[in-house]
Amino acid sequence: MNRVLLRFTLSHWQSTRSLTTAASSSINAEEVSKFAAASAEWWNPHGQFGMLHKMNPPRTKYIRDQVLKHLNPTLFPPSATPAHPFKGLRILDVGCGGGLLSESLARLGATVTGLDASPENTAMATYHVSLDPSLSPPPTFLAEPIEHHLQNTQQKYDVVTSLEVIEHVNNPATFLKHCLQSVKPGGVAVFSTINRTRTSWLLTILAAEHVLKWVPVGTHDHAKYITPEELEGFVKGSGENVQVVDVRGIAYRVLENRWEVLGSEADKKALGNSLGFGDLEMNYIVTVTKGME
Amino acid sequence: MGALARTDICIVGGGIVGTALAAALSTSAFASHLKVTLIEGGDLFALPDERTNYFSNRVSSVTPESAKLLKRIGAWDRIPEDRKKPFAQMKVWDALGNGKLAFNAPQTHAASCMGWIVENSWLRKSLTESLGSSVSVLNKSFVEDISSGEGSGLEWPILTLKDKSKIQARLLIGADGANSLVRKYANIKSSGWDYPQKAIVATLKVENVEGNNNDVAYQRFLPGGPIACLPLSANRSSLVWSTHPATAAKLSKLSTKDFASFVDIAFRNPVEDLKYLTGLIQEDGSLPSTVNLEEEAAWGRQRLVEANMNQIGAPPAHTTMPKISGVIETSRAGFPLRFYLSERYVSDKRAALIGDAAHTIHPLAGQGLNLGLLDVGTIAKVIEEGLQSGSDIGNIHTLQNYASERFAPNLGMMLAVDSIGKLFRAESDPIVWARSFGLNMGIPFQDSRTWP
Ligand SMILES: Cc1cc2nc3c(=O)[nH]c(=O)nc-3n(C[C@H](O)[C@H](O)[C@H](O)COP(=O)(O)OP(=O)(O)OC[C@H]3O[C@@H](n4cnc5c(N)ncnc54)[C@H](O)[C@@H]3O)c2cc1C
Repeated sequence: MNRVLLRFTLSHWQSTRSLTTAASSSINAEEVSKFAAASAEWWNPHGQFGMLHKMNPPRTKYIRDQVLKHLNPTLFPPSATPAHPFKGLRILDVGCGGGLLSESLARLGATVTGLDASPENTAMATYHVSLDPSLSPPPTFLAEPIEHHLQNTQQKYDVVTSLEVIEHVNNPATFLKHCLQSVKPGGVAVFSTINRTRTSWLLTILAAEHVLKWVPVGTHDHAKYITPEELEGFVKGSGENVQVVDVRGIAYRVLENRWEVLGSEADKKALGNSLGFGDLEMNYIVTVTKGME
Repeated sequence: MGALARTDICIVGGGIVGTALAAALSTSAFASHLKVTLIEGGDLFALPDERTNYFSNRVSSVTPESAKLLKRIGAWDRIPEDRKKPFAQMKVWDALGNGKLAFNAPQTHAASCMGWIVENSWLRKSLTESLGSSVSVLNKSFVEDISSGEGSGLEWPILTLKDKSKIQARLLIGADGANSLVRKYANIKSSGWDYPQKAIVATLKVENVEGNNNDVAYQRFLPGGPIACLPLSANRSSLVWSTHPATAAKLSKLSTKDFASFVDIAFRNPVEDLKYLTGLIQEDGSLPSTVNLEEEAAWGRQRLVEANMNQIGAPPAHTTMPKISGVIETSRAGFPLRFYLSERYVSDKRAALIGDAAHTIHPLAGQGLNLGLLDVGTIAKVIEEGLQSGSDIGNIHTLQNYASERFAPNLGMMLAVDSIGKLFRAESDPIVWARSFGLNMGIPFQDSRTWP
């Protein structure tokens, strides 16, 4: 089997969702306008978000598997079925962008609330769910940052997701804290982002923005990329009773033109070391659980 | 405009392939909640003739892999044992050269058989019986028109049936055969050609069978095209004879008795005998009264056996080709043969093509239906995976996974089958020698799937 893994990072395609930042202070006005302009393009499978559309299924499948594995059994509603494993679960998708992940989670049965700081994005997402009659109940989209949402509602969620968002917020530590505060005891949170490495600079800034011109120049700010160690540090420093339970790399297999969530470090040990396996050089995804008490 | 019914997956065409997909989806733990609508212009529930040892003229060879899929769906075990004839050997030879091959079922194979010959009518019946409750069948309903849902508030394709009722579907599957309407709607080009051949099928009476109660499939490559004899029971076999349309027209007019003699001659005699005798067939299908077919045939066979040092045109060693002793009345029918390939299997108009709608090939390797069933297995898996990752299963990114898994292998098989056909139509000496050499190399066949 071909083991050549070339990776691209894709956080920029995701970036429309960037604006869901934590404290109002963390909202970056420049970023908002940058991505709102692209929102009409969001759902075009052949448009500039096409790569993100492709990345979504393996990520959703990862979330599905991790939630089924780590969510405290007492939170599992009896209504879940193999076809709708999330039926009865309440999920908060922070930085929902055009609603790509929110829709997928809703199709798995969840009752989803999508947050995005850009009203254009939430309008776009709300419009798009109306196109699919089977999304019932459809996700609710709110144009507010996480910290406002926390204040405005007493709601806590079984699952909180925030994919390819942290690298766009001004204060990732505060942002993560607010996300984790929104998780019920026994619940699960999933975050993904891009590692700050030389590879990610080459591929996301140099290649994707300047050479291939897949995304506008300035989409990314490499200095804001976060290493897995930093992310784990933010989680530990959140003051919540939480723990990182899984970290995986996400790779783009060029020849097969598809994304894949790689094996875990544990799998890597079990299977022996093959090139790129479990590699966190570029995009990676993390599962966090919250204790019961 | 009348009320618009909505469905998750609409399958146009209740042939074996379309019905198999409906059954597969409705028996899947991940997909059985989807509303599936299966639309068939003909009669999906036409019953097979169940008379013992009576067989329909439309049969298919089913590979072990296809059988596995049918088993999983629940269809295979619904086909009575005497309606699925296993064959353990396949003998293939060249009428012009001395190339020959005998394949045996791999010993390791649990079923220890290369495949089964099954009537299409039984495949269909077993599949309709396997349809789960999520499938609504619109039988004897013809799809007249398909348009994109643009402007209806929902960009899903809209199908208009002959009775003018309309259905809107998240995902449209074209299982509607070689002249697919879904393919036209999806704007997918299909290119290829009609072979300068027609296939004559018939149910044969056979005697002096080999092996375990007639468990050998035979195929002889004649200059006009291959002739195949596929076992159905201890004394019945199925004929698929591909030949020039003009020859086919002549053969079709023969009396049943004379036709049986011609089939026997086509398998056993030197090619020249068949050419000579075919030339004698009159406009009305009769033969000149001076011709005694039996005697002519016996004389030719003698020559093939005795004076043929190089074994030109003779079957592989240790082969006793069964005697074709008769043809079942009214079982003769002719079919055009084509090679058509769709340039894509999926489109972003929420459509995917499976089976003959996506690819039509020559029956010489008995692969057309089997490729279609592989399509079914893959697209059902892709839909299940899409559902598990919360995808919109009509979306091109989901469907693309089906196309990228099936397109290349199907194309490979199509080209292989086509080049075998072409190779064997050639009558020039160097090519005949080359193919004799190729056949005699005894390329090791691991598995019936690698045939041809
Ligand atoms: C002589 C011969 C021998 C063969 N032998 C073998 C063999 O041994 N093994 C093998 O694997 N393959 C064999 N094949 C090939 C095999 O028969 C085909 O590949 C297979 O039947 C294709 O199935 P399908 O369901 O895709 O298409 P079809 O069988 O063509 O079914 C299409 C269905 O769609 C319906 N339909 C079409 N348009 C509409 C519409 N607008 N609205 C509603 N309904 C519609 C039709 O009524 C039909 O029932 C053979 C073919 C021939 C000609």
